[in-house]
Amino acid sequence: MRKVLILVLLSMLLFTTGLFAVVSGDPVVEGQLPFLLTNAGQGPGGKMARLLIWQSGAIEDTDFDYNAEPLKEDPNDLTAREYKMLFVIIGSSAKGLGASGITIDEEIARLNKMIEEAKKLNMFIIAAHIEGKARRGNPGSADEQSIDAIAPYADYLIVMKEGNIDGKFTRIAEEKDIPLTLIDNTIDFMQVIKLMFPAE
Amino acid sequence: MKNPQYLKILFLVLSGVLGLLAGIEFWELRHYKETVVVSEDFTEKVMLSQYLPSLKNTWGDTPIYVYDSGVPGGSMLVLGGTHPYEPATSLATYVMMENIDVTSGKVYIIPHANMSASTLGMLGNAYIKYYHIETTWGQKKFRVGDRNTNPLDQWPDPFTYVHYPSTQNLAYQDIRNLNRTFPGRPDGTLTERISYAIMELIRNEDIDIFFDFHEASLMYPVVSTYVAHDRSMDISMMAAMMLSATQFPMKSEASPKNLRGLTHREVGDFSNTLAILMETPEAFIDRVVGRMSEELMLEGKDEFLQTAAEKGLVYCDYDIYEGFPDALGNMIIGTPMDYRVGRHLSGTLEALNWMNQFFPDKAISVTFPNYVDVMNNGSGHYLHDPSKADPSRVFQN
Repeated sequence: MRKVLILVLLSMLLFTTGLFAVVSGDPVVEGQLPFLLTNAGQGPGGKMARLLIWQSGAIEDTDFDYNAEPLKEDPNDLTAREYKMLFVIIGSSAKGLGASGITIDEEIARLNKMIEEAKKLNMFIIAAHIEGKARRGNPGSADEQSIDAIAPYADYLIVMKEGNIDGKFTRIAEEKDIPLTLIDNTIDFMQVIKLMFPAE
Repeated sequence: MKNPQYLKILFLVLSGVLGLLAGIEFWELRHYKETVVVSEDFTEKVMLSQYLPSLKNTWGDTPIYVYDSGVPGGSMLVLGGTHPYEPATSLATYVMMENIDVTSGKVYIIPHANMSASTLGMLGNAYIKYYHIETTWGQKKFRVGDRNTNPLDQWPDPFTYVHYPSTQNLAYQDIRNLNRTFPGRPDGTLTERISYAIMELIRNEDIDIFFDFHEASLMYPVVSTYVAHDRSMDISMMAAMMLSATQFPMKSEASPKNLRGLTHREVGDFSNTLAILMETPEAFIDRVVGRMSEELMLEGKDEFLQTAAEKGLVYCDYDIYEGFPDALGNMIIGTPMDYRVGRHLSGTLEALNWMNQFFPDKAISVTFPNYVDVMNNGSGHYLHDPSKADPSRVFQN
């Protein structure tokens, strides 16, 4: 039972203080509000990020909106508010694509349109890959297509180290001169949010 | 040339002898009972037929073990053995049942959700009938069952299985798959009736959180994953992130709305409970593996699967030579039974922890061995000797 207690305490510490959170690579950029949070590839990452943003307590719930599929039905999704940033969580899921009833090709077409629109609107684009190798795949897979559709066009990259094991995100960052911040675990994304939006 | 009469008789007798020998093996497995020594917090055993009387005296009836703290709190239902050929699920419930301490709320555990399916091996797959777990007092024997309800109890299968009530067409054999027949119906097939009785248990006892334990092949994308109903997504996502950071890799997926009959969808849709399904990696059921031995079931080391892993064809960590490290520094080689049992135990505890935070009014306080304990001491360490236990706490399944 002592081990259980230690584990629970460790988990609580990790969650409540971010004591063990490791954030490395380029410095975290300053966040701008409001922003639109979304995902690329129909994975659950967008919802995970939304949950971690809520749990971080760094910003108010009303400081950002979550939209799983901007521009799918409404062409004004990116202009619904004066969004300063487009925060895209990358990661594909067969269950997610199946649930949406779309193919990865249709998803990529929507993502291309979304990036083009965001660029026109001068939105600051953040691409985050926070679920590690679970959301990486072989060349041409839904995960890799989703990364290729978003990451090279981003202004800032946040990546879980395990998902960058082949250096793909490092290469994109170097080729496109994009700052890249690395996190050890998905849960450390919460620490990045706290650094992006420090308490005043 | 005509066969002489005596040759025909010889083959008839030979067929009869072979049939008898096979029949003995089938009979043995169908009637072998597993023993469990329930913890001191156990309060009562009821049968599933209490929630649907037509299940009484059928192989669809199964024991439900209840642990009621008597202190107000939430309630939890855990299913093991929905697919009995995923045996870490039942073993995890046994470890839970033998060691659980409930200080608030009420816990219901069904170690063999599909009892009928646990009485038969996978036909045509040369499966082992039993596996053995070493304990401090000797070896304990458990059944390895089938995925689907025994055809002796439900047969024949239709050409197309039309799921009730969605009317979605599913594969014909899934009419005997308990995880394709929810929410079930009271006058349906045996498997649909089992599903319906479990739904009735959930609705009548007002179960707050529901866990359905499973194991998955490593080449299935949803391996090592929580699959959560819409209302349970926050719980499963936070639990998956915490487990990945502190114990072992865990993913989280949303239950698709257009795939019917599965617990994570139908149990959530047809009751108020928070429905979560969990998958561990079980090399034994991957299609590419070699000989399906007891060693493969317990250790999960297979060279063909290793090759698949090296080609990026599996959806979780897998290495039979060097292993891969979990978050605690253990090197996991293959997919050992203790690793899989531990995952289910800690997966449950972590999800409960988050349910307690998100829904304090449903809070349950329980302890039982977790991943760390099972990895350090083995599952067998937590299984007690029935011969030395209080007979009132010894049950057979």
